[in-house]
Amino acid sequence: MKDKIQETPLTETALLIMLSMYNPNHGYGVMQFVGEKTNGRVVFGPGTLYGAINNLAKKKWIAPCAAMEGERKKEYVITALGKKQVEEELKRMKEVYNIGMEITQGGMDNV
Amino acid sequence: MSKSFKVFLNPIEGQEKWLNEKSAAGLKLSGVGRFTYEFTKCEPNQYQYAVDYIGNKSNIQRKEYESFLDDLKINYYEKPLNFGQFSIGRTKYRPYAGKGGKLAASKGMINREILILEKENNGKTFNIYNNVKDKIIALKERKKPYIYLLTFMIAMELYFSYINNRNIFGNNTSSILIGIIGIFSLIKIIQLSLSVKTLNEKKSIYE
Repeated sequence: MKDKIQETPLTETALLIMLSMYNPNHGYGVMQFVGEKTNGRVVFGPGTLYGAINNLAKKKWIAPCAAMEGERKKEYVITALGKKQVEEELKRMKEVYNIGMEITQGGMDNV
Repeated sequence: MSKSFKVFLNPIEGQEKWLNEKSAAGLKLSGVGRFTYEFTKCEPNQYQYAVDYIGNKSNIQRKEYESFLDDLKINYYEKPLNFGQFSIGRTKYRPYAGKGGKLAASKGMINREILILEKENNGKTFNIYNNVKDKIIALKERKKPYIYLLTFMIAMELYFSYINNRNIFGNNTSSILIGIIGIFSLIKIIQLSLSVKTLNEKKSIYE
């Protein structure tokens, strides 16, 4: 079977969107989450966010939630496959971070 | 309320810049026609504008995108792109569009190739695409109508020169007109290609 967990590095956009969907979330909620967590450093453009959500849904890394009655906004939640992708990405980032710390500060970080 | 008539040779960046200048002067967009714009008064710089090309989208994709913009509390106005498509009656052929978007026959698709996005100014630049990859994709999609327009102009000139038994790009009215449109398309293709090239150089370093 094809190993689907070899798709790192993820883009910052994809990673942040998936992190924002550990609880069901919609487009506007994702924008607020990312703005808050990055102190406004990352601001998603609507075209980028729309494309990324569709692509992540196509890959089945996030899935649409059943719509509540009267609820117009489309909510998504991260899938088990998506969580594995996030875990792999965090491992990769930690490795890169440790290399960086080792070189620049002469020591390993034990995060 | 004030009304303006305006034609843009650059329907994306040109229109975007002009609308943001209007906002800086305290004017908020309140309606659009093919070449007309209506404005109402607002606080200077109260709103920000960005222009998106959606001529490659099918009717369903456009509606989904607009619904998504509604969720983000972004207002939008639909406008036509006035070139690169061929009309027969009420049917438009958009050879550059994606699957489901090539034949624009329904009321929902005709004259809706451009979206003007409007939102309250939060002090940050209003970009529709915030990473290099998406910007490249958007530029490539924008290039397609010009490529087809140029191809169509060349084909027309070949046809006219054949049926009139004259030289290609000779000194006659139709050749001059076709030549002007062709050169305009070529310039746009080169401009967009250069922008893609610059972004491609950045892509290996920046997201």
